Amino acid sequence: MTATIDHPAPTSSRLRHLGSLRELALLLMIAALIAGMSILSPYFLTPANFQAIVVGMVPTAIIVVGMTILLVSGSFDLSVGSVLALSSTVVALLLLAKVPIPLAILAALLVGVGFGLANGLIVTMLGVNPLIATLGTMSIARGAALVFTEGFSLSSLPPAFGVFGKTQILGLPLMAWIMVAIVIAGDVALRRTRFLRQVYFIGGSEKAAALSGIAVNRVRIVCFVVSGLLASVAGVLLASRLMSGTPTAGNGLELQALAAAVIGGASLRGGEGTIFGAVLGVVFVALISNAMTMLAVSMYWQMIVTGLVLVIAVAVDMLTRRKS
Amino acid sequence: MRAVVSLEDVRKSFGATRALDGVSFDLAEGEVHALVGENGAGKSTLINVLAGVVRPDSGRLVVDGVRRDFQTTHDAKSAGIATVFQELSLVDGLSIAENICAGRPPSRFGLIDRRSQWARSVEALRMLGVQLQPEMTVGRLLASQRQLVEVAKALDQISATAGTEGRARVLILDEPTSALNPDEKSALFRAVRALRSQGVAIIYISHHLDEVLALADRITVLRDGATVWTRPAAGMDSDTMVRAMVGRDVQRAVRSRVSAGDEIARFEDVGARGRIEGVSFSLRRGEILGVAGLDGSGRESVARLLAGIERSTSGRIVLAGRDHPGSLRAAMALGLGYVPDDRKTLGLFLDMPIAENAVAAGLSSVSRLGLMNADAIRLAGAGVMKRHGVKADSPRRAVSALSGGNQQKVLFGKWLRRDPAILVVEEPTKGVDIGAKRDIHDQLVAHARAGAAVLVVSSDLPELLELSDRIAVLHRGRIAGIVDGPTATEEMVMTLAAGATPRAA
Repeated sequence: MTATIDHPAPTSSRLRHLGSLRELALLLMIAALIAGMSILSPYFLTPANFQAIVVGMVPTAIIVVGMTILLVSGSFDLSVGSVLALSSTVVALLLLAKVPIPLAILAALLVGVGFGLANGLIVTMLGVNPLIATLGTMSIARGAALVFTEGFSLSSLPPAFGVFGKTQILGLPLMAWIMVAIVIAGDVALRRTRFLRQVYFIGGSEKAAALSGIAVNRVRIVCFVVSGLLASVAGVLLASRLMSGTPTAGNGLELQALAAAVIGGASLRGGEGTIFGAVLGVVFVALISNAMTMLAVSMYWQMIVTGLVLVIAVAVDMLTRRKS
Repeated sequence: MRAVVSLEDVRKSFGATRALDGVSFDLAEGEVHALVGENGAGKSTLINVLAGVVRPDSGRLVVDGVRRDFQTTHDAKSAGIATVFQELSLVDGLSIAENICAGRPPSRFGLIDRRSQWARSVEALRMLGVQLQPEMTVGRLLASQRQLVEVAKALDQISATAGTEGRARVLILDEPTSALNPDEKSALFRAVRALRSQGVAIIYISHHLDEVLALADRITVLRDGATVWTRPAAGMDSDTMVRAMVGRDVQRAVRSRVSAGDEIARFEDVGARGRIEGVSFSLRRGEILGVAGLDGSGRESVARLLAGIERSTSGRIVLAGRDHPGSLRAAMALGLGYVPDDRKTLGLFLDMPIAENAVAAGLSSVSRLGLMNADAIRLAGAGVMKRHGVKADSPRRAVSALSGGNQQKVLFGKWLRRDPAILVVEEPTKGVDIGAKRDIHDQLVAHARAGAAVLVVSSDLPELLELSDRIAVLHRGRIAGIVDGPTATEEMVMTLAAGATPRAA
């Protein structure tokens, strides 16, 4: 074993990678769920069902990237579900007004950036608690979406806008590949980039971070902007898939994303969590509800089970932590 | 003398670290028993065992002749042990009275009896000679006042349980004087002596050996988790204790006087509303400038203004030849480093590894093109551990697992790694053992001798006298005098700090 003594670095970083027991446990549970369901239902392990699961989790998986970054920084964003809805209605309204597709999309994304910026400024500059601040903007964004559309879904969008839902690449629609790209980019960025690494320090101790020369407010604002932007990306993709802008879309999505991130190892106290783990949490929850649908369990029961999974996951984590 | 508490061969390991490695110790009725030892010697763990926070792996704990196995802090309290921890346990949003009576609030018909709560707090505060209104909110108190309220809370536990089955007869004080001024200290000592005469057994933990000699009846020295000896305090001297604590002879560093270099920072008639006024001095390369003053004299403001985390309202601060940019980030770019006074809340990221803490103030040094380099972080952590003698098994170990002295070394390592041309330090060795204190002092002196300017603010006067080339003494926000470090005496500095005119030399 002289090699490890001479070059301890690879061993230690690899160990650290495997070190996250939560991610490993989730992977095992996902594998067990897939194996079990394949036996229980002949329709589970089919390309059609696989595609349905993946497409269904696109909005949550994109939103959870921003949510995890915020959770690591010791904050969160409740407005994402409403911002998703508002962006989907904004893009639809503009398309119906004959605005070119790229411009309409850009405008919808700016809505997300704007809400993110507002959240960030309210939390950092005014010192409002993120719960209150984003609860407020959540209501504002949802209200705006309903005002713009008078409560109706906007359909008859130009067919070319359906590109994200219809274009198939390797058996999955374009929007699924966009999700994959965002998740990978987000995971690498949070693990490796200097800018987002600062988020762990801020979540660990905001005061110590400021006294280490980290521009705490600037970083926190950027995190909120990323979260808002990703919510509007999800809104545009959802509008493209449904070929309509829906003011009631994404209801409760903020809590689903929060739950998935926490199941994946993020903590509301800040300082810990990875995007990989959070996305595994999304996959796990998506698989469970798919499995229950396959087994003809009612939607209402699915909510109860999802809630139980969240509480059990966190409780088990707390118990194992206390022992060590 | 009857033993109220006795510990026999108590052992406790955390992972591979043996925190307690066979401690035996007994506490007699009506005595003040001091526990001394370097940080990491096992004092905190021992206290935690007695307070029911930590369960020992083996050994016997006997209280009042009954063998005990505390599962929770409540068990320890019921067995009559009152503890004042170093980490303060007060609730900011509640009043002093509510905090003092938090453990056993007086009630009538199921409602809190405010009148009796008030009376009990007044009594507990009176014992400590503290002039505080019990209805004041704890969040508004100074650090020293908080510490006294913490002690008052324990005193209340003792008096509220007097005459009952679970009456408190053991009081544990862990570094109770770290934030206190001399008057507050002597009031605390009076209260401790009064309790002793009532038969309460007191365990007193302090790094200040003079306090130990002044107060204790017996002294137990711990080293590496084991008892070295227990001896009567009468006839004891600090040298003997220090030798037992470190296990070797420690020589007082003899420092040569050096001539300071170019000016690198300057205060010109600086004021900050309500804190300091008309402060002027110059800081030179190669020197350690000490800043002394009583609590409330504004001594911390001098450090914080220079570091850029407080704003001045008048005058001019010059840093590296230009106007101070007004923020820590910008000052860091001009070569400044700042070690804050509270390592746990301000200096370190407790749940994060040593390595991450070491690089927190210099992320760009371990990244390339905006990407972090994990190996560079680990190496930086290992480098800080080696350079500062941090005792830990790996740079991946969370800082919270380290002793106070080792944490403080990590905090210094974090800043010295940047090689700051101007280092601003508040309370460099607060709550740190003698060995670590000496190491940190050596590092500060070496850093100054290598050409940096060091500004040290400390409430520990002997420390300032030992370190400083010059000492600026503040009185009520103004500089009462700047004295030459090597020739200054404690009396000279205290006279200036108290606002008296020094006797003509």
